[in-house]
Parts: sequence; structure tokens; C-alpha cells
Amino acid sequence: MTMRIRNKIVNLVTVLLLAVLTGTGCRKILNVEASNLINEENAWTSLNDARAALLGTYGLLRTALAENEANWLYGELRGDVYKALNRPDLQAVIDGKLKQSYNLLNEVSNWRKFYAVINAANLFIERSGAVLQKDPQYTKLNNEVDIAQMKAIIGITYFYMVRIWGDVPLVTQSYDGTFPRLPRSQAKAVLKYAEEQLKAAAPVLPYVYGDVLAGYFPGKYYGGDLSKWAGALVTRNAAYAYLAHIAAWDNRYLDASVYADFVINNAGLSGINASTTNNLTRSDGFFLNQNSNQVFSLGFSASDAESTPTGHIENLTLANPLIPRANPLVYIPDTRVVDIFNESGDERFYVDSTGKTHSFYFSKSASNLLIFSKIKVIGTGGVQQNTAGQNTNVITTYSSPIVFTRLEELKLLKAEALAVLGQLDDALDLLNGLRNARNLKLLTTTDHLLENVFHERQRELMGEAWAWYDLIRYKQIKNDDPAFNALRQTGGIYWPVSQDVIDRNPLIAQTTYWK
Amino acid sequence: MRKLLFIAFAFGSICANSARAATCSWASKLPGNLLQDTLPDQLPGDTIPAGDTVAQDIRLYDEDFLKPVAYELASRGDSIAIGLQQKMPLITVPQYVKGSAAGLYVQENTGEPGSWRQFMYLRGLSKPVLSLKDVYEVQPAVYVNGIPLIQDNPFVYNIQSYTVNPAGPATSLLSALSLDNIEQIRLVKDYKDAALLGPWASNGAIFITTKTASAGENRVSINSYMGYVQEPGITTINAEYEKNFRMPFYAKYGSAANLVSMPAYLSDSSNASYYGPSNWSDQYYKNTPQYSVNASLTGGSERANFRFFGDYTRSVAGQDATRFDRFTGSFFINMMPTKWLTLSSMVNASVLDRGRNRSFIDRFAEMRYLPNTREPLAPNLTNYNAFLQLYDNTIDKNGTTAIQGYWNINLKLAKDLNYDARIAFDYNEGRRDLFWNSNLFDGTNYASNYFGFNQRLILDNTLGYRKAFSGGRTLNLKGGIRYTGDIQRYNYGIGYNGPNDYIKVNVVSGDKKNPSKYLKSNGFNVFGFTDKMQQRVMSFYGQADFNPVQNLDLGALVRGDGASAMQPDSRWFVSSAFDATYHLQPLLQSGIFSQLDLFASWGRIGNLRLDQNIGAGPQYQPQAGWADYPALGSYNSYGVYSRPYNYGWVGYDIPWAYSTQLNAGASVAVLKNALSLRVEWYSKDNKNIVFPAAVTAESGYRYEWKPGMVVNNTGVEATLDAGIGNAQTLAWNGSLNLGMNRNKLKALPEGNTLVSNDRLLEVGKPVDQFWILQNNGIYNADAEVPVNPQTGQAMTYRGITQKAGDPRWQDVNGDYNIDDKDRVLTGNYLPRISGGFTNQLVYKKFDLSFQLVFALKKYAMNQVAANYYGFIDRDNANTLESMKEITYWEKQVDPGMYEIYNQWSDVHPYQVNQSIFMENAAYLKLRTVSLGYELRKKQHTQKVQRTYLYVTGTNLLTISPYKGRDPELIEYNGYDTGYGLRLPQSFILGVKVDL
Repeated sequence: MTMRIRNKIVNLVTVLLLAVLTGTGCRKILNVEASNLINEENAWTSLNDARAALLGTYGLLRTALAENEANWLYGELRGDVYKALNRPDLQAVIDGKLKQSYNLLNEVSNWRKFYAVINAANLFIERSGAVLQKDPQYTKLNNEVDIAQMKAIIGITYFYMVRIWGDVPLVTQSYDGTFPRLPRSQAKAVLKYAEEQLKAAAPVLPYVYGDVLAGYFPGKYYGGDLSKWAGALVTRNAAYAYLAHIAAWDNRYLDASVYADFVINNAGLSGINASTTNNLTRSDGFFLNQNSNQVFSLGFSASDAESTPTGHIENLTLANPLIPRANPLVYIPDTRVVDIFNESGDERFYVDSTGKTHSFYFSKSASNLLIFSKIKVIGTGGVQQNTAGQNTNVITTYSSPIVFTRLEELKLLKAEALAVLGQLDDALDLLNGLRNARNLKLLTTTDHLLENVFHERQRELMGEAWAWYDLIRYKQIKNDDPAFNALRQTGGIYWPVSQDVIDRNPLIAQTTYWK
Repeated sequence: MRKLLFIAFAFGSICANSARAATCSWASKLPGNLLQDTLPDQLPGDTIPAGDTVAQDIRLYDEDFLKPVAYELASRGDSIAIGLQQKMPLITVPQYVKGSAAGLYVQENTGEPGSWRQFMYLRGLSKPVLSLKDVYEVQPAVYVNGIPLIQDNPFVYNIQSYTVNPAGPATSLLSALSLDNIEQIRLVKDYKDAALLGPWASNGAIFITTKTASAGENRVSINSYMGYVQEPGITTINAEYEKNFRMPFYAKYGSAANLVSMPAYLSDSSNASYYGPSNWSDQYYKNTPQYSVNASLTGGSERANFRFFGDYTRSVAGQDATRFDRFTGSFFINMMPTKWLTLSSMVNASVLDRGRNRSFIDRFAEMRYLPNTREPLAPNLTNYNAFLQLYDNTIDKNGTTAIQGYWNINLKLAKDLNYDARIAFDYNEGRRDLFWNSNLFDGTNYASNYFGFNQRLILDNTLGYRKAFSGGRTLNLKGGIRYTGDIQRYNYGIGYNGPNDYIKVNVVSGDKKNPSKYLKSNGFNVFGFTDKMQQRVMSFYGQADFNPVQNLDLGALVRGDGASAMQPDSRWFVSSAFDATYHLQPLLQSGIFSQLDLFASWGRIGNLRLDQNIGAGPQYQPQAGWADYPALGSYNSYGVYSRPYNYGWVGYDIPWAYSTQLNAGASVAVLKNALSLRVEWYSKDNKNIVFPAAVTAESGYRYEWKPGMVVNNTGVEATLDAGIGNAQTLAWNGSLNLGMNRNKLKALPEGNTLVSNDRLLEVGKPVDQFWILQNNGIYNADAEVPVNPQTGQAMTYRGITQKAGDPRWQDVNGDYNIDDKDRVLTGNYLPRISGGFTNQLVYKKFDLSFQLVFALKKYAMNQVAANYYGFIDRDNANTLESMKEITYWEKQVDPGMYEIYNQWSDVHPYQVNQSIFMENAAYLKLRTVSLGYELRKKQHTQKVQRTYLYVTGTNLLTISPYKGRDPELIEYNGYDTGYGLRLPQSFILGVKVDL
């Protein structure tokens, strides 16, 4: 009997001991790492972390510009060219009634997504040094180039923001985990900061990435070769292209001309070439995926499963028979098309003497509407077939990237700068170069040169989110339109700041025009 | 985990060596609920007694047996009478408990059988619900024999562009249990009980005890029913009706151009498809059979007994050919190899199969793609049939397999010392295989495959001790350790534009030698998603019950819970609960009172998280900040990560959220329990709720997750039970339950107001209010628009000058501009009063039962009406919400209900968030009527113990001021979007036989 009791006690003690043991194991048991996120401890430890964070910043910039087709809402639609079909919110953008109560306008007038880019870039600059310590594969030069890219991205993002909102708050560090309230800074100061960032970055940036034979920064870049990275990252040329535009926006055309010159002269080093009209408008041409001709683009390659149904000019402009949609969301009325493309022989569009249209830029929709189909990279590009074997489309995702500039654009910018600076003959040469490429007769006179340059920009860059910004620069140069000057004075050329932004930060004041 | 398993077994084996006899006891019924307890004896029609329940003989040592946690609660809390529900064609737990217990409000958002969209709210809303994801966090837990059932995790929404339904089968995991296999359902509301269950039960719990093995001669029970779901009486409309509805708007405000751009299907009156007979409903709504059969076999000796249960049930809605099939098998074994050792086990397995609806909204949400078509399907049957034929060559398989079980070892270590070890698991997996052919969508086909599982493992060790003192006083002590490990995972692949409509699966190449093609799809444009969620919880607790004096019971509980989903610095949460009950009846010496108890409790429970995000602290997520394409997580083909700018910043120092509840009440029974009343009051605070707070847009973040939100729910609940008369003359049993609940936001993480997802949360106000403009009619002329005397500017709506034909909205802040500042908080979508009333009349062998359910002081936004009236906005919008289903041709909105506003005005006159669309959605429903007849033993041959026949009608009548379809078919957020299928009216004929 006593034996049994003793046994029992021994066993009880064992039980309790085991219980305690289980308890001490708890700390380990309760450490479960999430597989769908990366916590601070595991971030910034390896080469792959650096790549993921670096490209994440590019991805955020892509989102900021593409979501809601914002890039084109900001830069393309406003003005008297387009018309919206059944989309009063888009019509409001076209008419410049940017404060109407449409969700779309509210979304697009919120600058949060741009500041996400700024935050991510600043974070990279502040933190990526940790990878240097932890992963010997990550070289100092690699880190320097990465940081230079992030600086350039900050400059680029601020440039976009200044063009869209004018005065914007200048955030120069990540403030990780704290949320200071900052007022809007003068657009000029922000532009200066953007220019400084780009100028600091430019000398560190290579002309190409992933080139094993390159003189500077040779070898594969994060495992990718020359063709992999073509167009996808900020190169030295890309930095200068943005610098040129910052200077032009700031009305410093001498600088603009110098910066543009840099790119034009060094284009070959980055593989930047001119495009024929055919190449420009083919669905597997210039706008397919990412390539070096795009200088710097934010890509949506279908073969990388990154193509999306929205976020592209195609989603605004295409319709049957290119995609299964009766009508485009926006179109250019026939009369406007004829107005703009008013020269015979223009490969992009012209009507010949018999009334027949010739066009690389436009096509007829099933409903007989002229649709703007210059950019039409549906699915993986090229001729697409749907399941039923029709040559129309796949489920409509697009893989055209967001392109900032190309060689033609830079040449036109230089022509514009030279025209402003009075070097009219050189400007005319540049303009004629492009006219020749588009099968237009060469101009022999420098009369109305500036007008001709801007007219050419309108035709050449249609659909590439330049129209509104070009108009602003044109009016700035001409300075002869009091109504427009008033609009500029009060900030009407910019987008209003979303009420959400103002509610969250009382230091932000609404742009005068939109009050 | 392996180590723990070993320990659990070790526990058992070590203790087994020396321990003396113990035995097991199953759900014993306590007095308290009259309907449940009195009916089986008096009334023939309700539950099936004796034969199927626990035999007395195995409770040999019941007196000094200390039960494990799993069963202890089975005899506490509110019991729900389920006799009537057992005669209804029900399939899910929310349906079983609907309207049957005070404080529990159940809303079936759709009549689609087996859909997960049925929500339960126990004692109100523990936190604001801003999205469908949040609904998961306010649901009470459902326990089966002590196992908290693991539910789907909303993390699959993270990769979905639209949150209509979760990817996968979206089947209710609570539809795996047959009611005929359930012995008892109890509601755990009081924290004295909930605290024992731990953090899973912070929203309360539905505690289900199944029927189980018991000794005795082999007994067989058979239940079966068969019946039809009825077509509803609806009015269909066609394009002519639609045009007539629209014309007054064109006449009053439309320009010639507006008229020209009227959609073609309306303007062309020669189009017979649209202008002809609107008889699509003949195909959509159909009288459809539903049926169920199940049987159980129970028997064995005192030392070893078993129960087997098998069930097949089909449930239908009679709409859109939706159906639900369930196959269930349950097996229970109890063994008592020696007198001090009891082994018991359960395995309960179900296979669920669902035929889902064919709505556009579900299809396009799954495909993540909106077509740009404005034309609805034609209302003509020929056209509709032609459309349905397109589905012939499609696949939509939705299968779910669920299995729960446990092994239990109970040892009697000493006379008053008892040890219980248990391994329990709950595993379910869902599959959805989908193929939609190219005819259904603009010439592009679509295939997707989903596989996901939820797995929970529980290791439970309980040590119980009981000490009896003189004077009938006893001390019960209990301590336990519990480990719960959850893993949830899915693999989901979607593919567009496969090679043709004959290849319906997304095949990949398996040739490893060819890496460029390995696992690449043959033809489909494929996107793959996978995610995994893991959570572990370790709990220690100790509980003491003592009655220091006669008539007074005191209890105390302390527990510590460590959860892996919390931040490392605050993994552990210690909480406690205390309770006291005073039995007054013995003191009163009055013959009238058969029971008079006063009780009170206070408790605190930590709240678990459903995600790992908060626990991780500052983090990076593999995405690029695009809200519409959350799965776009690469740039130039390389995976990226970034701070969670959309999800919101997560910082450090985030503690456990927890809830405290004070509960007090009285329970009175008079006239030998013929009449009893239980009244309870509670006040429950959910504190430290982590919630997204607004941050500056210049940070790049949408929100910052911050603790500190407090939501209070206060309420009174009453249950009145009565049993009067004698079955030989006429007996009446009634049970009325009533719950009143009011919630209030007591604190926000920051400031006094928060706007999120178009909802305003304001401290001091309820969290389920609508935020709307007040509509005072119409401006008939421009001159009627008020002008600001200071600026001379006319009233504007968000900066747009108001004109004739615009709504006259109340300018609350008097700034002559209508915007968010003029929206007021009003109404509420959860009922302030809800309950049910069950009645049973018994006359000899007949019995007639009916159940009424009601919800009062409840409002809804009639978005269906807003969309229907605002047809110009709807036609122009390219959103999922603006999609027109075939049910567009069902008359749901009366013309003439609202003012005729100028549709073309930029002020969106028919936007839903205004007072004209907020309606009283209170209701009283006659949920069921059942008539039964019992054939007694003597009428049978010897073998048959009992036969019971019944006829039941369900969803018979609704009384409501609500103008929409049904005041229940309203989304989780109080907006009636018209999504759900109707709750079907059905009639069944059933039989229950005991052999």
C-alpha cells in the first residue's frame, strides 16, 4: 500500500516536472516566423534583400504612375484634344475640372503613393549599408550604384510631383516609424533638391547594367545581364534626361540644352537609338516590355507575369477590334485628328487627296470611331489570339511600360531649348531630322520655329503623357496668354491636393486655384 | 511539436501505472432549461430521448469524477433548445442557433446553401467592421466536444482584387455537423465560462456536444426528410418597364444627346429579347427537392461501447441551380480497460460539395477582370437558356473535407485526484477547380485551381482535485496546460486564355531536365499564389471553485496565454475571472420558488489575432503598393519587397488586445419550474484593439496600426420559459428570448474621430452607424438653391454648384458647401433588440411547433434602390457593384419611391449615403411551423421503439417595413447590395425512427 502511494508521488512529481519543462520550451515554441512578410531582423541581410528593396522602390514608382492610369491623367488628357465616352470623371480631367466629386479624381489627387517611393528610396539609402556588413557578395561599388539609383529616383519622383502639384512637402529622410508633419515647400526649392539628387547620382550611375564588358561597373548585375536590365533602371543617361527636363521646367534652357546634349551625345553608350514610325507603333516594337531605347521605363512585361489590365494608355484608348470593348474610354474626334496631323505624307497619320487615310497611329474601331492605337501592346505583344482562335486579343492585359522619354523626345527638347536660346538654325536641323524620319517635307524657314517644335512634340509624343506639360512650357516661353498666366499664378495648372491629404496634415494648404 | 506529442503520451503512460479507477461521464444535463428538460418526458414530439442519449450505467463513478475542460462546459452556460431545429432542413451551426438564445444574433446574408456568408454576433460587435475581413474577427468560436473549430483565415483576401468571397470553395466550415448528431448546444457568454476556454472564446462561444457512445443493447436511430424548396412569388420586368421607369428622368432633365445615348437594349423597342416576355425566372427559380437521411448505431458493454453515425444531406436554394451535399461519418469509442482508466475517442469526418451560383459578380471577382459591357442579360427565357448553355462546357467543383477528432485518456490518480490528457485535431481542406470556357467571356477562357487547408492540433493536460469538507462544502481545484498549434495554407493558381476550350486544366510540364519549360504552363497565362499562416498558443491555467457557506458558490480562475502572433516583448497575457452565485431559494422556504439564484462574474480574456503582421513589428511585404493588384510583387521579373504602405505601418510595443466583461443576473423559477425567467446584464469592454490610425500622406503610408481602441457593448438579456398543461388535454411550452445590445466606441488610438473605408468612427457613438447626408427633398428651380449672403455663392456640393433637380441636402455646418462634414452618424445595422419565440402545443400524440425570430431597431442602406434609381451613374461606372445580374429583371424597387432628381448632375443625386436610402430593417419572421405525430411503442412491432412523423415549413412569413427583398439579405456592413440569394421557403416531410 505504501509502495503504491510512493509510486504515485513519484509519478506526480514527474508530471509536474514535465509540465515545467514544457513551460521552458515555450519561448521557442512561440517563435513562429511569418512566411508572408519579412521582419526587421531578417531584412537587409543579403544581396537578395538589397535587390528586393531596390526594385521595390521602382515598383512603387510604377504603381504611383500607373494606378488609375494616373500618368496620363496628369500629363496627357487635360486639354482640348481628347473626349471621354461615358466616363464623366475622365471628361472632368480633360476639362480641367479636377475637384469634382469623383472617386477617381480624389484618388489621383492624393500624393501618398509618390511619398511611398520617397520613403522607400530614403530607407534604402539609410539601411542598405547593413547588407555590406553581412553579405560579402554585396560589393561597395554595387552599394554605391544602388544608392545613386535611389537618389536619382528621389529626384525623379520630386520632379513628377512638382509637375503635378507645384509646391509639395520636401521629405529628405525616411523618418522610419515616426510621422512628422511638414508644410509644402516652394516648387523651385523642391526642383533644386531634385536636381541636386540627380546630379549627385549621375556620375556614379553606369550607362548600362549587367554588361560584362563595360569599363565601369562591369559584370552581371544581381544575376541579370545587359538585355535583362535594358531600360529598367536609371542609367547615367536617364539621370541626365531628367535633369534636362527639370531645367526646362524651371525655364533654364541653357542648362536644359547642355543636359540634353549629354544624352544625345552618349546615347550609344546606353544603347539608345531612334525609332522608325513602324517600330514605334508595332505591338512588338518600341513599347514592348523594356528595352534600351526607352532610356528609362517602368515595365509591365507579360512574360514576367507583370502585365496588368489597367495602368496603361491602352486601357483608355483602345476598343474593338483590338480589344473586346465596344468603345474606348477616351478618343480624339476626327476633326481634331485631321487638325493635328495636317501634313501630307505623315506616316503617323494623313488623309490623301482621295480622302483615304494612312496611319500608324490610329485605327477604325468596330463602331467606326477613330481610335488612338499608337500604343497597343496587348498580352505578350505581337499578334494575339484568344482561346477561340480569333486574332483579336487575349484577356486584356497590357505590357507596355511607362516611358518617360526617348531619343526623339530629347532631340525635340534640345530643339526647343535652342529655339528659346536663339540658335534657330541648329534647332531647325534637329526638327527636320525628325520630320524626315516621319516622312514629312523638310522645313526651310525658322519662322514659327517654336510653334513647329511644339506641334511636332504634340504629334510625335501623343499618348506618352507629355501634352499638358508641353502646353505649360510652351505658354511659359510665349508668355502671351493672360488667362493662362493667371491660371499658372494661382496654381490652376496643377492638380488640387486631395482633401484626405489635408485632413491628415493640417499644415498642408490647398492650392489657391482649387480652394 | 513532436516533443509535445511525446510528452502528452508520457503523461498518460506514467500516470497510468499507478492510478486507480476513474471513468468518464458525458454531457449531463443540468436543470435550468425547461424546454429542453421537460419536453422529452411530457411531450412526444421534441427530441428523441433515452435511446440516443447517455445511458445511466456508465456513469458509475460520476459523483467523484472530475471532468476535463472539454466536457465541463457542456453543462454550463445557456442551453439552446434544438428540438424544433432537428425537424428543419438546416445545415449550418448559425442556422441551428438562429433566434434560439438571448444575446445571439444570426444573420444569413444569403440563402445559397453552404455559403460561408452567415454571420453570428454574440453580445454585439467587439470591434468596428470596416471590411469583410473584419467580420472574421467578431465571430464567436464554435466548439465541438471541446475542440475549438478552426475557421478559414481571411489572409487569402491579401492577394484578391475583389473581396466578394474568399478564393477557394468558400464553403461554411460550420456546415460539417449534422444536427441529428448533436446532443446539446450551449452558449458561452459569461466570462466565468469563457475564461476557461481562453482567448478563442473572447467573442463568446457556441459549445456543441455531440451524441456519443454509450453502453446498452444496440440501438438504431434513423432520421430522414424529403421535401421541396418553393419558387418565390416575384414580379419580373422587361425593357419596356425599364424604359417607362427611365423616361420621366429623360423628360425632365435629359438632353437630346442623352436620349440618343440611351443604352441600345432600351431604346430599340423592336428587340424581342428585351422587350418580349420576361420569363427568365422560370429557369432561375425552380421548385427543387432537398432531402436528408442519417442513421446511428449505439451500443456495447459498460467496459467498451461505441457509436456510429452516418449522414447524407442535400440542401438547395431553388435558385440558380445552387446546391449543397454533405456526407458525414462519425465514430465514437469509449473504453474502460481498468477501473481507473478510461479511453475515449472521436472521429468525425465530412465531405462537403457545393454547386455555386452563376452570378457575374462572383465570376468577375474570381477572374479579377471587369468586362466593359453595360448591357444586362436579356430577360427572355430563350436568351437566358442560351446563356446558361454556355456553362455546359465548364467546371466549377467546390469540395471541402473536414475531419475532427480526439483521443482522450482519463486517469484517476487518487480518490479525489484526476488527470486527463487529450490530443485533439481539426483539419479541413478546400478545393476549387474551375474552368470557364471562352464563350462566357469575350473569347477568353479561364481556369483556376485552389487547394487550401486549415489545421489545428491541441494537446491538453488537466489535473483536477476535489476536497470535500464538512457541511457539504467542497473545494474544486483544477490546473491545466494546453498547446494549440494552427497551420493554414493555400496554393492557388489562375490561368487565362488556355489553348482551347477542351483543355480545361492548367497543365504544366513535368520535365525537370528541361528547366526552361519545367512547371511552365502549356498555354495558359498563369499567375500563382501561395501563402501560409502559422500560430501557436500555449496556455496555463488554474481554477478554484469553493462554497464557503451553503448557498454560495465562489469561483476564481487565473490563466496565462502565450501567443506566437503577438510581439516578442508581449507574448504573454495573464488574465483572470471571478464569479459568485447565491442560491436564495433554500432560504426563502417558499413553495412558490423552485429556484432563485443571483449571480455575478467578472473576467478578462486576451484576444487572439488572425494574422502574423502585428506580431512581426516593422516589416516588409512582397508587394509593390498597388491596391488593385496586391499580388503584383515583382519588378523586371525579380521579386520585390517594400514597407507595407497600403496595409499600414506596424511599430513596436503593441500589447495584447483584451476584453473584460462584467456580468450579473438572476434566475428565477416558480411553480415547480413551470415558469422560469433568467435575466442577465452585461457590460463588455474590448480594449487595446489594434486599429489603423490615420497618418500623414507624406509618410507614404495609408495608416499606422496602433493599439488603444476601446469598444463597449452593454446589454440586457432575458429568457422566459414556460410549460403549462398536460399533453393529454393540451400542453403549451413556450420559450421567449430577448437580447438588447448597445455598442459604443469609447476610445480611438488617436483623437476623437477616424474615417476609414467611407465610415466615420466617433468616440461616444456606436461603431455600426451609417454616415450619411440628410436629404430634405429637391431643388425644383435654380432659384431655390440657398445663396451664401456673405459671398453670394450658391450652395455647392463638394465645390459643384447645386442646381434645379439636385437633392436638397442639409448643410449641417452652415458653410454653404455639402461635403463629408455634413454627413451625420445615424442608424445602426446591428439590431439593438433581437430574439426569438419558440412555441409548442401538444395534444395527445400530436404536437405543433413554431418559431418566430425578430430583430428590432435595425436599419439598412437600400443600395439596390440607390443603384436602380441612379441608372446613369451605374451605366457609366465600371465597377463590380454596377454589374447587372439576371435578377436585374426582378422588380425590387418601386417607381415613385423617391424624388426624380437630375441623373446627369455631377452631384450624384442618387448616391447611396443619404437619408432617403436608410430604411428601417426591423423584422419579425415566422421562421418555421412544424406539425408532428408520434406512433407509440404499442403500435409497433417489438423492435421499433418509437416512430415520429412530421411536416415542417420554413421561411414562411416576414413582416418588415423594409422595402427591399428581405431585411436579412443585407451585407455585413448594413448595405443591401442585392448580392445574396433569397432565403428559400421550403416544406418537408420527415420521419424519425428509433429501433
